Amino acid sequence: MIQHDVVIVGSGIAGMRCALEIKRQAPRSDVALVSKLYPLRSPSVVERTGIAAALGNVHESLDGTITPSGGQRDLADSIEAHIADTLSFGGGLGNSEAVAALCEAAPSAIIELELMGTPFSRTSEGRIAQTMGAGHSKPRLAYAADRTGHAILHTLYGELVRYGIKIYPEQFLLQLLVADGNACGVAVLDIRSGDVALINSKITVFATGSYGRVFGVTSDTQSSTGDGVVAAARAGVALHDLGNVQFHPLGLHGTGFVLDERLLHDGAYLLNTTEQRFMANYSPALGERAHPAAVLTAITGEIAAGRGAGVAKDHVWLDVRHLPAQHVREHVPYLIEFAHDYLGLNPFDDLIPVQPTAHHTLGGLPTDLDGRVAGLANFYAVGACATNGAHGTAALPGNMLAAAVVFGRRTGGVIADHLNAGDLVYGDVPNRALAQAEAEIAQLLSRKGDGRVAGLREELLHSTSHSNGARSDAALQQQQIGLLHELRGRFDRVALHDKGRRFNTELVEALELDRLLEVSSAIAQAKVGISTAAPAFSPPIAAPAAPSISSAPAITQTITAPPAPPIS
Amino acid sequence: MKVRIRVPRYDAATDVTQKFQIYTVEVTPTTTVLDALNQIKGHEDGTLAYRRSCRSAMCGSCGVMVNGRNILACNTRVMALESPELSVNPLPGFPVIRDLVVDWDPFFAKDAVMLPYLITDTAPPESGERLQSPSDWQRIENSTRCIQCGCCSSACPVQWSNSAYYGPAALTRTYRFVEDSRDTATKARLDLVGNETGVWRCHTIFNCTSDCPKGILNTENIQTLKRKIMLSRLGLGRIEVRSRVPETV
Repeated sequence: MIQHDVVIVGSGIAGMRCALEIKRQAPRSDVALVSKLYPLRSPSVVERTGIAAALGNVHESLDGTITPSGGQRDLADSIEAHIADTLSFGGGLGNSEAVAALCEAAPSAIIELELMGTPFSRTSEGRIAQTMGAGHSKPRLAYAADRTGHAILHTLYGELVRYGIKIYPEQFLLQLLVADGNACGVAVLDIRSGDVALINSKITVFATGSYGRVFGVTSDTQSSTGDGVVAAARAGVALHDLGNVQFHPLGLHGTGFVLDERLLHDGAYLLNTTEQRFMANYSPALGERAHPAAVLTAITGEIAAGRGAGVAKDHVWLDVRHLPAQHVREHVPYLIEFAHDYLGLNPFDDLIPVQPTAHHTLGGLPTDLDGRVAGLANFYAVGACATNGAHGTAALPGNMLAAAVVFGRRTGGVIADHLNAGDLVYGDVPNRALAQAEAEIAQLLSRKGDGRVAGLREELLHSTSHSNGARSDAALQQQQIGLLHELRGRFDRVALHDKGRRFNTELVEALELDRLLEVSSAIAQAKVGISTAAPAFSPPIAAPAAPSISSAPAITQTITAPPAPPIS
Repeated sequence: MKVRIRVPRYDAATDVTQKFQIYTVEVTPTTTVLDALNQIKGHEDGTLAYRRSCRSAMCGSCGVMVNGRNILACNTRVMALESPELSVNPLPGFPVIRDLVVDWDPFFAKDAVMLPYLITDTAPPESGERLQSPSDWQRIENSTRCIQCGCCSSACPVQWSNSAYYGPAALTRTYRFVEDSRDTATKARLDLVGNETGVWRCHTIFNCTSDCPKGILNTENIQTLKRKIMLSRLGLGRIEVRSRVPETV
């Protein structure tokens, strides 16, 4: 059996940053990274706009131009302002302690990324360039052209190579191994060979990312299927607040890719099917420059009222034709790329179809600020699969990336301290673990039936494209629970064409569908207030500012939150 | 519109040669090559193996050769290819594991040889980041677009005949750090690639530039490295060679 001091599942920014910190502070430790993908393929790459930190490298003048702040960085921005913006954007429901931990550590975490070589864009003074983001009172988004997540991920990957950290690519997480209340490793499927293997560890870290793929329209990648969240739940961890999902108003129609809200701030229009601007009906004072939550409500409202465009009346139009082309090219170049590559459109001549899209999943494994998952010893979680209350009901733009780096580093430091203290031992892997993990694979491969993975998945995604989205209400959710029950029954009759073991991607898709069904059920039940299981522990951090909102539809709270002042 | 898609079927563990299979797929103006493959896998033949993840041309998973050109399946619309038949193949020059899935281990091993991290002998500033001028940043803008999809190295005929050649992806990685004003290991990096498995194996065929889905000037980068190596051997030190940066779109 393979043994490592620490096994980290997931090779996105959070997992890599955690691995790196462990190796830096405990150089003799043996850390391994296990991932469903090759590390550079991780979903972190799709985070394009920026990473938030109160560096104060630039300030914005009254006419909106952004200039370097010179020697007055303390005047340009402050940790307190970042904290206030984060709390406000999160509907006032963020945990103030977690928010403070995030905002205070973000500047040093980003400086560190720069020192590692991240190719951040620059101000004329040579400092890390920053720009405005929705919900920010100051220009605070540090960016690397229009590919910030990609730039950070590739830089961290280089550090892993420098430190010689062991990586196991293309391993599907099957189970979290638990013995006597201790996490002691994972069971994985090696996708390439089709073999099931156990990895035994003193400490197990999940950095398995989001579960956004449960939604029909999402900005998430095809790999974001909640594998880690489900594996932990099956090992007895009570999940927190899965229904807390942040929707973005501007998803590119047909793909769900997020287009930056700053387009609206910069003067883009939103039009309905009759090509009438409608934002004034929802937000007379601010129009398109309203708070993103208000824009989301408005677009959802137009579509619900039958004024959506297209045959399915499922989108509205984004109009940037009147904006200076140079401005769009400079600030949101990927709008031009997306429109051309995926729709064959040119945003300077054509209207761009947009619809609300599931953006960030904010529920998952409840952790404290050090990443410890409550209820299971030697088990940590970082990144999008973890929730410590730093985001409330909506993550301020750039804060998801910042949290991955900040809490990845912090958790890595805590783990390194444990390793340096030398008081950890390998937990005993349960005798039947390998047989159990193997049974799931063998059972899927040997099934006979007429069901197909893709057909079932399409039905699931069709159902979640509206009922879990912005149009959620109790009756729809009840219907959804019934449907999910039926889909779960039919999943047992799904048979695979591919009965082989080597690189069986149909098998992987079946495993993913199983996880997606599980997460979908948990979300639907949370939304109608059914408690699936008595929580084995209280919410992660007992703070009065962070009430558990698992029994209420989180998205409704986002929408009804009082519109915050517009950008600038 | 109906399109015929021809895919080689092959399992390295059991098969000696490829068998070809033809699928017919109904496409709309927005169907991408990846959508078409998903349609085949989901509704016609679940045994077809290929990789995919982000769908938005950022993760580098879905590089394939379609009608003779290396592309990303996810950001290429079928109709934009203007052909009623697509021949979809695994990236040439890489060992095939199964169907369209290639073995990336040798590719990433070459990348790791390139010391793909910042090396500097200057101490970091007491507070804050290292400074870099916008024009110095501009010099690495193009090469830091790389998503390591392998389309370039796979398009290189030299790579096909000599698998020891580092290939354009790895050499662009070296270029990215050589050109970075913060990196001081220029000599070590040039020594690393100034040999016959490195830049001197490049015959300036330009396939790597024309097939890069991110518009990276791979061949030009290799040529710049060659010039720097020659100039430094002539004792002329680090010569500034400004790269030509194309428009993003």
